[in-house]
Amino acid sequence: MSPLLEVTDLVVRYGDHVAVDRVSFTVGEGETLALIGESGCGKSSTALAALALRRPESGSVRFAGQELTGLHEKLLRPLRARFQPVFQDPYGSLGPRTTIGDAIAEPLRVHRRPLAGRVAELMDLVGLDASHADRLPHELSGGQCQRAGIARALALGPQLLVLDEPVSALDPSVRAGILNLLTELQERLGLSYLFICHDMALVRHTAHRVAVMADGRIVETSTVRELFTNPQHPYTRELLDTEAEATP
Amino acid sequence: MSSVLEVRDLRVSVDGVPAVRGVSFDVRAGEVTALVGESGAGKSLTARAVLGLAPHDARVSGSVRLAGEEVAGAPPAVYRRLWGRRIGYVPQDALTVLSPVHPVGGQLAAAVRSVGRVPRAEARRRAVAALERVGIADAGRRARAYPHEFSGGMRQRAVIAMALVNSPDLVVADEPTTALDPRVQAQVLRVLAEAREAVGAGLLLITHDLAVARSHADRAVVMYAGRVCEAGPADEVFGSPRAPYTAGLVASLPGAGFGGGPLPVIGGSPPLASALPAGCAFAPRCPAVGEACGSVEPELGFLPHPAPSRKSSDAGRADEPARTVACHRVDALPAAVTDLFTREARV
Repeated sequence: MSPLLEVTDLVVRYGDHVAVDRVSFTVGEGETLALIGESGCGKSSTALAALALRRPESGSVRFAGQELTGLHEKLLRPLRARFQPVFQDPYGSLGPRTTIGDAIAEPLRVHRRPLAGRVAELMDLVGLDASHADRLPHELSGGQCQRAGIARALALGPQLLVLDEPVSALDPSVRAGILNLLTELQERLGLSYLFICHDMALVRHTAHRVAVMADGRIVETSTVRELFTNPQHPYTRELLDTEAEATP
Repeated sequence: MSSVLEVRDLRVSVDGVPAVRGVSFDVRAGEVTALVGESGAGKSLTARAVLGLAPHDARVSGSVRLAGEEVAGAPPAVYRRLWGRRIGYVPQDALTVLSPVHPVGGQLAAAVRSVGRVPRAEARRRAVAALERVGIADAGRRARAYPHEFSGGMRQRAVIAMALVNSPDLVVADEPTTALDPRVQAQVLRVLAEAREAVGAGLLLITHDLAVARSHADRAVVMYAGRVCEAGPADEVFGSPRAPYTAGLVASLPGAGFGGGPLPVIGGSPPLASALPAGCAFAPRCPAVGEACGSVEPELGFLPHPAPSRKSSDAGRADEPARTVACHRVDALPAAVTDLFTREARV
């Protein structure tokens, strides 16, 4: 079976700077691939290209067998419903003057999908009380906002979520609830996740496979167990040592 | 060892809202005390009150003794004498203390000259030495660079150098590594520990990161809703937490296992300082809640059975309990308080 997302030899450039240098990886159905690395290593640029939000210099991004690079926006739009982003900042990713209910309904309106009952259904799915639909983001907690962000990403019934540091801005006790929700949604809906993260403890808990990125390149890809027990690349070992130091 | 900072019954209210409600703790010379808690727990406001940087509309009461001198709520004129000399400050974002229009070395030299008559050349020499101490390679040349020419980790090192350049008694670091990558974070914390040891200062480390507190602090003070709910040696507080809130935080961290099993969760969310529940502020979220919890706020008290791993050097210090917990139910809790927390999916 072919993977749901297949990125091959991806190159992203900003002027003279090569941010993503011949990056290749796949995300299978129902699978979580963690993309780890430090600020500036190119993981967010990779995510933008994978979401067809940034045109790569070269390389291929195939979603469910369909090539996305170079595809006209008109043809991309129906495909966009099938892969959706969840961002790091739960407040910033929702409009400050848009109610939670409207934020969740927006993708449905854009894609001309029926609204009736769907917003309440989505809110229930992510564990948000339906009475919160009329609230503004600043009236909710960080955890509740991130649940709204996830509900919005799920509105069009995607197969893949690109999660860009979805819990790093949250307090520890809230973080666990969001991680549980993501795990539960993956089981229930068979979702695939491209999970961008720099917290090794989270990666170990959440991911099936891991791709380690440094200076725009993927230096190692393996299953999560293999990566943590038998890291191959010196950079991976360094990352694991750092984590060991932080958790005695 | 003597305390460089003694905080007793510190209270800070902003606009009449009590945000810090009777907090007491010590920082000893050469030691690290971590103030741990989530957003809104009052830890940053506590730090700012200690630093003499509480907001203008805040009311500060209680006692803050800095190297023996009472400074709680003192006016800036008093603090001006202490800043730099007695207290160093490392903020979360280095760019809030570094001026963008002056070279880093010049700013450090200015900090040296701000506390006494030091010739320019000598101030400059000390500035370069301070940069060397925090591991900035080629410090003589890098001292001429501007903050924007430094990486995030280097900027944070420069700020640490500045906080320590006049050998203060106390350094207050407010989430000093939150904005940094884990690898840089570890380097910066190492540098902070080394530089601090070199000058023998005590460190008050404000953090929401339990792993950082556990691995870098001697003592931990856990705050919830403006109060201390648990305090003691950091390895004991996080290794075998006794207050239900601390236990919930520890339980919710992803463990050493693989495979994404459900994590224990603390139900509900923290109360607003303007709408505190009656009794224990954690009671509405507490799985061990009892009758007294809803009416009387628990005081911080000795742990009935001192943990066996308690260091012998700590024993016998009667005025300084090794382990304190504020919980009515402390005698009724299970041996592993973390077991109280199970999975609750709803918010």
